[in-house]
Amino acid sequence: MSGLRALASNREAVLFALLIGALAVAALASPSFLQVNNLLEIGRLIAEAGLIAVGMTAVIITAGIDLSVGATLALCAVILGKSWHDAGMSIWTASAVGVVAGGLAGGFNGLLVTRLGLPPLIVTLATMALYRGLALGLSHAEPVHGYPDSFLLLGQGYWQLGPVALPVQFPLVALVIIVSGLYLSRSVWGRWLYALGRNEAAARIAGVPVDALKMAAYVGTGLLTGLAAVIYVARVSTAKADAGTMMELDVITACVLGGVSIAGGEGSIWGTALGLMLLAVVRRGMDLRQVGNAEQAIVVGTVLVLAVAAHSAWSRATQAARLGKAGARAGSAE
Amino acid sequence: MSTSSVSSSAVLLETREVAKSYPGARALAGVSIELKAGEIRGLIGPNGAGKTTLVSIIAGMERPDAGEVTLAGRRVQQFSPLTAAALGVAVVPQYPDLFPSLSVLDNLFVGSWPRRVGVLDWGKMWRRAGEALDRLGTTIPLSAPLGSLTLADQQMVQVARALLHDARIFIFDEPTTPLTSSEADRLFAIIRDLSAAGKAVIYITHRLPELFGLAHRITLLRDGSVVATVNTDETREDELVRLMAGDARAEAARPRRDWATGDVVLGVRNLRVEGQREPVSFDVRRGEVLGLTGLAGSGAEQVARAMAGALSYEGELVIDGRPHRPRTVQAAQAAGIYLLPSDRQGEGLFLGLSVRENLTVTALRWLCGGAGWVDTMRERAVTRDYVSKLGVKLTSIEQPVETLSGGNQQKVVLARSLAAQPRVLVSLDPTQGVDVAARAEIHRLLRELSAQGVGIIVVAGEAAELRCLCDRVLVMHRGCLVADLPAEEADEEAILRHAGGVGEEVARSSAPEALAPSRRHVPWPRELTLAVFLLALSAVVGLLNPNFLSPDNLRDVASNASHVLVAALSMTAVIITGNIDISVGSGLGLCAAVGAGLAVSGWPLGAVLVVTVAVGCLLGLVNSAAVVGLRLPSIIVTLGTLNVFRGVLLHTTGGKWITGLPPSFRVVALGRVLGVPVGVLIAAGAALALALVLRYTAWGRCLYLWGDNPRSARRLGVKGSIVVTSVLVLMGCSLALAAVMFAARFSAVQSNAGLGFEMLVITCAVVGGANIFGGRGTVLGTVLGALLVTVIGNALTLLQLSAYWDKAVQGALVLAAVSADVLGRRRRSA
Repeated sequence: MSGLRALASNREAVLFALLIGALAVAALASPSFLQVNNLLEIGRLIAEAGLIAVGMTAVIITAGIDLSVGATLALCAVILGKSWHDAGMSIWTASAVGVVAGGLAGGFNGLLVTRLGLPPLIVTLATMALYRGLALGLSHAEPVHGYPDSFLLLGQGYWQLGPVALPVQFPLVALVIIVSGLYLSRSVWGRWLYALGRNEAAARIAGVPVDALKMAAYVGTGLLTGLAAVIYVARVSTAKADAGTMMELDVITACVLGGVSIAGGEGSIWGTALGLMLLAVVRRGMDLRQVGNAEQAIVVGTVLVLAVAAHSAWSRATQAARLGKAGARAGSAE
Repeated sequence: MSTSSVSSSAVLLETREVAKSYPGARALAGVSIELKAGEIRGLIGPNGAGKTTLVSIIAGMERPDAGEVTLAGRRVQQFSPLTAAALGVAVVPQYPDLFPSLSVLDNLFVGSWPRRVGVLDWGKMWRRAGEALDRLGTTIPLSAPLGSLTLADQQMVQVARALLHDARIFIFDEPTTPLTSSEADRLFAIIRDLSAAGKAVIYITHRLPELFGLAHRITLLRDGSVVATVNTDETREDELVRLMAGDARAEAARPRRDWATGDVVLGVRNLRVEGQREPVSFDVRRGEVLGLTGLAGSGAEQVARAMAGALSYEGELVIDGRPHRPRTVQAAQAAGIYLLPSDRQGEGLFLGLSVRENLTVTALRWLCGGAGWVDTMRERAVTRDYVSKLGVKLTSIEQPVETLSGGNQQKVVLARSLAAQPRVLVSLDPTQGVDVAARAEIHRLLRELSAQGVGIIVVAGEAAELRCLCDRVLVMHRGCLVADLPAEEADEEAILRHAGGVGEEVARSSAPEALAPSRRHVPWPRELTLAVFLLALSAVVGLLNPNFLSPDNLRDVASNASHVLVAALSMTAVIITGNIDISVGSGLGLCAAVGAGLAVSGWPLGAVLVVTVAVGCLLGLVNSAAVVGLRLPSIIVTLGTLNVFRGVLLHTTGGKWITGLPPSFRVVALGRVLGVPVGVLIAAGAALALALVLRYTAWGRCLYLWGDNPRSARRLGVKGSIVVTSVLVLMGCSLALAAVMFAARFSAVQSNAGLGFEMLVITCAVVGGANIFGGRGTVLGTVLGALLVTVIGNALTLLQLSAYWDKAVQGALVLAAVSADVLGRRRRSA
């Protein structure tokens, strides 16, 4: 019985093996790949997706989803740029405004999901257009650039530790991942989040504050997306309304690869982090082999569908193994 | 109502030694009954007697393990709902299970539409439906959505549907539960008419008085066997009650209580939940097991849920002398009241989580140090403590909870409440679906708790269980508290008598509820709102900028809307089935590139169209293969293919524009027939075609059935895989057509063609009233939606507002439309 439990946690081991495999393939394809600084550079590239993926993991665990994160990132970036450039705020105040805007955007999603009981898919599909449209409308699709160097360091700078150049955002992302990973697995709210994702009706009866938890997940995703927007603007030196286009795909794919179940109640930040790294290695490997964006989109899109399919087939199989025929029947009922 | 007139008629239904077992329980142990034309047969028995199983077998929803069923002289070989219906069996369930979003007329004929030259014959349906409803003496509007009717009228639709299908055996399963007494009277009259017309009727009920004056004979089931079949005019209610109670009295006598009941721990004052006739008040004393019972619909369970904050109510609770009005489960828990749900799979367990996680979920609040971190050591200790206290049999507290037996699962749910140190425990059917040994143990635990001073309320349907367990039993009937029985009077007979309303007059023609007019919400059609809004918007924009109303601009608007509409129409069909396709933007770009590429290399228009549509069809097949074949949600699949298709497009074009489209190709967009752009004609043709297909073909109706209620649709023989595949392929094909129209409008196709197109198309459909939950959507609505979206885009440009806001407006429109849907649905169900 407990063997099954062990198998479930082995999912991360499987993922880890995949990651090592991907690294090996990438190293064979391009010898420079395994250089420490190249690997750390990957950390810079995945920082934004990584921050958002932490929030997305929580949202998907509640059996929700947030398709609007890419658009939210653009909106936050534009608001940051406009606050600094047009409203004359200091760059740090403007950054804070950007982060708060992200929280508000997430809160609006959360309100529609909890108060009106609308399906998260359709809510965030609509706000994806809404937030992108606001970003376009506010900026008239004009980029804002010319940020002070002290700000750009946040996205482009290094901590020089001996021979190793650590991208500035690396420790921040690592900290967010570790704290939220621990929080999700060890705190009361984290534990409740899983219960809620498994069975919302039962969670309500058991006294779990369902609506507050969902709200927290969406607001948290919004805040982290706002933070990602700040780092993004500092990294690319410009705030533009087309920022983060298709970001949601990478983020959701990383979560699903990492074992977060679209059906809710399953997954972990650790898995998501591994999924994120796997995706980043694959993308970086393709970059080094000069595989174009087009082909990368095909690969990532296919990986998403296959990962979800593998996950649901895997869940059905273990369910059937646990309960015998009865479980298989229940699993196929819907 | 003489028995002799029936006894000479033909036998319509016969079951011989029908047996059925489920894992762990025998539901039927060889039941033989015989039903003649014109007979009304009452079927009664305590919960778990096998009534539902018997009826399910007759209706073809279950297959018996042994025995045979003969319907209208033919032995049933194949047990399926369709076969049973073909042999004349019709079930009128307690709560309607047809298609709430569809019209009454639709519901009357779904699955077996009358046709003329291959298309559905609505004229004939209208006539026959009118006749059928006239026969029943009702005036239900045929065009109203079924879901907008009262439950009584919905039942009437089920009866009319059965009549229209020439049913000969009618099965009513506790039909009066949701009805007022005048509505029930009307139903009884109709059942008598059915009998007079030579139909056979099986009438299942717990309300014995209903059977007198209605049924010719009554069959009593208990423990899966027929105990007796009696002629109604030769028996009395109390005799039936005695038969139902059976010799259960010989079973385990209730142990004497050896502790004293103390102060009132919880007082319920004038508590009333919505739909309940009279408020109830009672006390729960320390150290007392209080039973609360009643038939389905009596309100007993609702009262219990309200006490635990899980249902809204009026009135208040008095806890230790202080008034409380907990409005949420959390508030009730803070006051010490905990609910133990009966439906373990639905409301009790978190399947997939461990025993530990299931057990401590409520107590976590107290198991954490500062900052909300769980103290895992303490958590494990508490789990082990309760596992041993309650004697849960397991190998490890980390094993998934679904690997435990039913009785042990129930103990885990019980332990969850106990770990939170309750003052009052409200327990719904605490021994549902557990074996005899576990049941005795759970009873013992509840009594122990009560001895320790916890107030215990047990809601149970089974009289024997209440007698064994409770010190006092409150009985509810139709929303009123009708009896407060002390232990010595609370035997099965008394409980059944009060719960069934025995002694109550059946016909209360002057019942107050009969005066209330039946509420019928006829929803305001979305199309009308849209049309009004569209006209108003056009007028305003026209006033601000007269150019808007110039023929040239209007033709422009129509042209701009045309390719969007072609795609939006198919999106409507996709959404009607409860799916969505967000890959259409990339699909549009890909198809446009293929079409444009072929046109540039000199292919004739016809060949270009054929190949492009074939490509679109292929895209649809890819999506449907993943949705149907891998059983994945359509939104996730199309989120993936959205990228795959875009990638394929960029890969094949290398990101270059395709320019120099020949005029012979661009005629699709630029040509005019009698002054009307070709594109507009194509779009109008597509709209007309889809409207006709949706209305006049079985396939079109099946889209609605599948989207509205897949379970019932499956029962009627609708194949979901075919519905979903066909609709996604249709989406692909019309997308290809839209792509050709799109490409022809410009002299070049860019590699980012169609970016954001999915949102535009979904906006048109959803704003037009296509319901994302499935089952609703019209062609007219989508046409208006497409016009509205285009007019807004045009207006933003003409009024020199930034076109950049276009996207934001689309998003806001979708949110407004889906919110209106949800709020409308809520108001209707309120």
